[in-house]
Amino acid sequence: MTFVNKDIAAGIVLVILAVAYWLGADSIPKSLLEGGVGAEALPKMLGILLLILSAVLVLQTILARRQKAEAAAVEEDDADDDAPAVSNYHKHARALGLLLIGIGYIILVETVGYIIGVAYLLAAVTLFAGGASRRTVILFAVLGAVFFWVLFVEILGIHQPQGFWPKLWHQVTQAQSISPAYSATSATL
Amino acid sequence: MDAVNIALGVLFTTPAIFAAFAGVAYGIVGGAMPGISPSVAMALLVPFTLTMDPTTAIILLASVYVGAEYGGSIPAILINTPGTNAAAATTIDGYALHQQGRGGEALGISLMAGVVGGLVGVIALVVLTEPLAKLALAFTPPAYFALGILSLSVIASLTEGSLVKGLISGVIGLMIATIGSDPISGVTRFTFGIPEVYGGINFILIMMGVFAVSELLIQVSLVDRERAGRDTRIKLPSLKSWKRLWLPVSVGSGMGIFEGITPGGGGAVASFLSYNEAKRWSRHPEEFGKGSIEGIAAPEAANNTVAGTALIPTLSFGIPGSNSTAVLLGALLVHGMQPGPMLFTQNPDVMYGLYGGLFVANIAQLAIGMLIMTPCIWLVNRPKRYRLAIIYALVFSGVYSIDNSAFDLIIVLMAGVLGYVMKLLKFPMLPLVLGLMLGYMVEANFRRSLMVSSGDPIIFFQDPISLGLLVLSGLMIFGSAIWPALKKLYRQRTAAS
Repeated sequence: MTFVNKDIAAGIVLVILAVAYWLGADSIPKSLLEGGVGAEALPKMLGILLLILSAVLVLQTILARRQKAEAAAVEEDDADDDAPAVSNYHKHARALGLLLIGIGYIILVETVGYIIGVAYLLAAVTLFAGGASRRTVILFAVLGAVFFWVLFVEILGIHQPQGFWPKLWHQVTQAQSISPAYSATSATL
Repeated sequence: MDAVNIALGVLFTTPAIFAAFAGVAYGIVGGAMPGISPSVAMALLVPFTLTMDPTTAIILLASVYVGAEYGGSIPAILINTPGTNAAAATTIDGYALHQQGRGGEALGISLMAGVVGGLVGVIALVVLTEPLAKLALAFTPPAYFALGILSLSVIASLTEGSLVKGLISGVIGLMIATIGSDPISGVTRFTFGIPEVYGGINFILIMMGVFAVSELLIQVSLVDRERAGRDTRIKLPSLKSWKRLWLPVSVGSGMGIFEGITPGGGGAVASFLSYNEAKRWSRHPEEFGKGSIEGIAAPEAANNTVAGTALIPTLSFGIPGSNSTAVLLGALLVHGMQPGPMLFTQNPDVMYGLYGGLFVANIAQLAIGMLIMTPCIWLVNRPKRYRLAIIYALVFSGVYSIDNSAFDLIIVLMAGVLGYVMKLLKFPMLPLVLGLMLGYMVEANFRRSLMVSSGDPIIFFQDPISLGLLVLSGLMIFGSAIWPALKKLYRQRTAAS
């Protein structure tokens, strides 16, 4: 897909977004406090503005495509963008992979806690980026996670997700406090 | 004199002085790492500054900006890869000198020119900000609305790339700002029943996403760059060298003052313009491009001056001319401060403390720049995989600390995808971030004005300041729209003649 086609596609998506946004603005409920100009006024204006600008972008791009010389220059520009010699498909796949690692962190961190979550994140990104031995990755992830925890949680006092550890710790300490009493009762019996 | 006393009081009674030192050190390392621009380095820190007192937070971030502008020249000189856009002009002669075995001398010139340029920038900031901010005292709600529109028009027109894309980006920013409760009646809009967004979307999350996460998504597919090689010791310029350097440093500083005040100019434009001017004024123009010491001094003085002067429109009117100053404006707003004259009356400690902090940061840069070189080169030499992993972890750790909400992490990833797509399609990001930050001000003043006039939009044309600003906005957009056509016509005519 050439750069020009990308702009047309983007323009069409933006036109759809503008219409959807305007319809969303139109359904904003009225308030007695609004005093003449409602909460939907600016959003409606923005929806119309985006619609006009997106249409201009599509038209501008179509006109530019007709001028062959300019189109050639744009393609040259596009070739420059791919300078690192990686295909666009490969670039997007790598970006998606990194994004999925981030989603994995969000799913994990509230369950397993910050320190394990960061260790996972550091290990996953390093492995995904490639070029490191597994031993180095494990060492980096463990040391890195400890460093992040000490710096943010212990030194700076910044709250981070604790995961199930406090609950588990609570259950263990409760069980420990119950068990001597239980053994004492059994002994009397 | 009061201002000096306040500045000294802030520096010696709060952790501000440590913030200036730490900010410069962190900024140098951040700026030196290819892929981490000053704005990314600053955005990564913003969440951690929320628990700090406003003065320390603002000094820390401004010092990062100062350090990053110098840091960008380290890889520019050592590996021909500018760490920041503003250091791109430094690669021309800096790398040539390094190849001649004079890398240490090039780094020394860059550091000294940067310190001098930075101090000139701070002086311009002190002299110009308050008088300009006082102009805003005459502003009414229609004028504030018009100022918001002017800010967006200026940034959309002057940022690199297509005008239409700049305007679309600004409109999308304003649209994101409408999510949540509206500023007058409290009606919730575009929340889709998600309670986490009832209060709106925090613009820090969007900034972290579009600046930092999108950069990670791009960097992950790029080939690891050349290493900076072995350690290089800085050699400061001798008195004899200074005889040749004072002129390019003056040219760079002058250009930095002008470009810093002009929104959309920024360090990159200033450094290239000053490089060309220094060459024009030089007695040795033939050396430029082959390892001229003047070719390093001019752009480095310029981009470090901009680190001070770019704050002038940001603090006076709330118009950030670059991504870095947009991050700083965001930090000001998060700490409950509004740019303009009230900053000097309501938060004099922040303003004068910032002046003092920037002065200290620029002086400290000299010592820190020399001391930090070895660890800095070591860090720059680490493979990209470790850098990516650490930045990703920093983003998530920082974002979670804002509201202790995992939902914020999702917003940041979504903003990262938005930034990634915008970069691919060459949509500028600054108008989006600015639209988001100014959204509340624009809408609140738009509706307040219309409430006063019972819904009649004529109020925006009756107020002389509002009228002037709106006319200026129209001229900016119209001028930018017809400028390419005029250039083309001129080229065709000259070709024909």
